[in-house]
Amino acid sequence: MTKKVVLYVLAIGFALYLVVPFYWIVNMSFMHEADAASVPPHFLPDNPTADNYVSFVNPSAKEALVGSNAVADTPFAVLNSLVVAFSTAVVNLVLGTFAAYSFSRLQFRGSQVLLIVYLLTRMVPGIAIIIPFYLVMRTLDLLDTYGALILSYTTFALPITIWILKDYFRTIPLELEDAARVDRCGWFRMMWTVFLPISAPGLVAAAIFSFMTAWNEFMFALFMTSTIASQTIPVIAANFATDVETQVTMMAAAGVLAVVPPLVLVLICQRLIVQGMAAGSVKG
Amino acid sequence: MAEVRLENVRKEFGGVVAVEDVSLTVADREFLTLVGPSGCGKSTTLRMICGLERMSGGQVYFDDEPVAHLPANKRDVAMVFQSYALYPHKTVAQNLGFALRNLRVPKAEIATRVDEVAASLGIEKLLERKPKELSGGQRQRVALGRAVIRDAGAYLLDEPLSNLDAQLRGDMRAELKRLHADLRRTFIYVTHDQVEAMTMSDRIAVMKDGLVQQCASPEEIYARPANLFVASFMGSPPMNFLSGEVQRDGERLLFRHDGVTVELPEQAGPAVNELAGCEAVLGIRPEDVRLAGEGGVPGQVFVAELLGADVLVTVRLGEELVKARVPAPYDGRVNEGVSVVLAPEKVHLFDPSDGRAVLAARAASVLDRGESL
Repeated sequence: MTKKVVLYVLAIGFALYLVVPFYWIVNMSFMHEADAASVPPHFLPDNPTADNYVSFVNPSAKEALVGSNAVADTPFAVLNSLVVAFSTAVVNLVLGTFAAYSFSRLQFRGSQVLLIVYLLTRMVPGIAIIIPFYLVMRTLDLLDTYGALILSYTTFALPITIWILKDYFRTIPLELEDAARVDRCGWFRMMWTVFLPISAPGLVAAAIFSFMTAWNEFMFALFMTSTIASQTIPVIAANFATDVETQVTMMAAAGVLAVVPPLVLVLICQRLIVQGMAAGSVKG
Repeated sequence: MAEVRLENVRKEFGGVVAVEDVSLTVADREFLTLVGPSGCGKSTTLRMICGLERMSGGQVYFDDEPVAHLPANKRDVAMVFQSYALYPHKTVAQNLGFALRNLRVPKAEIATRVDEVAASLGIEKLLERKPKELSGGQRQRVALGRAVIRDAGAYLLDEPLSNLDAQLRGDMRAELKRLHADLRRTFIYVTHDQVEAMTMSDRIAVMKDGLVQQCASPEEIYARPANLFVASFMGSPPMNFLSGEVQRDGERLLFRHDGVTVELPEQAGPAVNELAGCEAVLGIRPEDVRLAGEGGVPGQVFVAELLGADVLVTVRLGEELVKARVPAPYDGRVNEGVSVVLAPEKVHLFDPSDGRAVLAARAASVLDRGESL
C-alpha cells in the first residue's frame, strides 16, 4: 500500500516536473509583461492578451522595447527551422534506410566495427569540431544557407538513425521479403510496397529523432548562420534576451510557437507508432 | 504448367554443405513431396527452385528452360511459407491480389479472382480484415490463396501445415490434396512429417544429409524402402529392426538374431547371397508382425497401446523390443508370454555397412501381391 502511494507521488511529481514548465510558458505567453514578474505568480493570466502573438505578425509596437529584430524574425525563424528540420529528417531517412537495410540484411566484413565507428563519431563534443565544420562550409560557400545546417545535422543524426532503423529492420521477418519476391516484386518495389510500410513505426521514430535533433540545435546554427535567411528559432529565441531588456512574455510566445510544429508532428505520428502493424504477420 | 527438373543441384553455406547433390524431375501436374528430418536440405532445395537461394552448383529447369540465372521475382512460381508471411499492413483481399497487381493484371480482373479464390477457400467474409485479426487456420488459408490465385508454373509449399493444431492439420491435408486435384498443377511440398508426405503425394523424395535417399511413389517407399534410413523414417509406428547375421544352411539362407531365426525367401536374389556369413539388419513393419499363442519366437508382452481400431503391442524378445500392430481388442497382459511370428515374405533385409536394402518385403500389403521386386 505504502509502496503504491510512493509510486503515485513519484509519478505525479515527475509528470508535474515535465508539464509545469510547459504550462508556465503557455500561461506567460498570454500575459502582459508587468503581470509576468508579479509576486505571487498568477497561475492564470489576470488580463489575458494575445498581443504577444499579434506582434509577431505586426511587430512595430513592441520591436523597439526588445531592441533587436527578434520579434519580426520569429515567424521566419520558425519557417527556417521547419525547412531545415524537415529536410534533415528526409535526408536522414533516405540515407539511413539504405545503410540500415544493409547492416540488418547483408553480411559483410567489418560491419560490426563500422557500426561502432558510426556511433563513436557521436562521442566527439560539438565544440571540438565546430571550427573545421565552419571552415568546410565556408569553402563550400554554404555559410548562412539551409545547406550548411542540413548537412551538419545529418552528420549528427545519421549514426543514431542507422542504429534505430537497423534494430527495427532486424525485427521484420525475412520471409515477408521472400514472399514479396516470389509475388513478383523487384527489390525497390518490395521495399516500397512491403518492407517500408511495415517499418513505419521504426521510420517514424527515426524521423522524429532527426527532426528534433535539427529543431533543437543551437550552437551550430549560431555559428553557421548570420541572417534571417537561415537563422533558426533557437538562435532567434536567444535574441529576445538583449543587453537592453528581456521580454519574457514575448519569449514565452516565441517558445510556444517553437513547440507547435514538433508537437503536431508527434501527435500525427503517434497513431502510426501505436498501430504496431508488425503484430500478427507471421505465426501468431 | 511446368515440369521442374533439378540437375546436380548443390548448396554450400560458407563451407557447410546443405544440399550435396540433388537431381530430381517433378513431372507436370505432379504432387512431389520432399521429406526428411530437419537440416536435411529440403527447404534449401525448395528455396533454390524458387530462386530465393542462389545455387552453389547445378541447374534448375522449368520445362527445359534453365532458370538458375533468374531471381525469384522472374520465375514462374508461387509459394506458401511456413510462417505464412502475410503482409501485415494489407487486408486479406490486398494480400491475395498483391502478386496480380505486380503482374499488372487489370483491377477488375484482380477483384474477380480474389472473390473466386476467397470463395473456394471459404474466406470470403474475411476479405477486409488484416492478418492479425485472423486465426491460425484462417491465415493458413489466406497464405494458400495468395499462392493459388496465380497462374504459376509450379506451386511450392514449405511446411505449410506445421503451425496448425492436429485436428486442423488433418482437415487441411485433405483440402490441399483436393486443391491439387482441382488445379491440376505442379506442386512441390516440403515437410518433415512423413504422414503428410504419405497421404498427399504422387511421389516422395526422402532426403537426408543433403542427398535424396529415395524418390518413388508413397506405396513404393513404404513397401520397398531403398535403405535403412528410409525404412526407419517412413512409417508410423516405425519399422522394427533386428541386427543379426545371414547364415547359409544347405540350400537355405537364414537370418539369425539370438533366438530369432527367419528363413529368407528362396529367390532372395544375389545381393542376399553375398551377405551370407555377414552381419545384416532385418526390418519388419509392425503390421506384418503376427502374435500367436505358439509356433513363433517366444517373448513377453512389454506394453500394449490402444490406437483405436488397432492395438500396438510391444513385445520383448530377449534384449530387443519388437512392435506388433494387431486388430483390437487385444487381451494380452503385461509380462504375459506370447509368440511372435515374423513371416519370411514380409521381411526386409539391409546391409549394415552402407544401409542399402538387399531384400524387400515380397508381399507388402499396399502393393499388388503378384508384383515382384
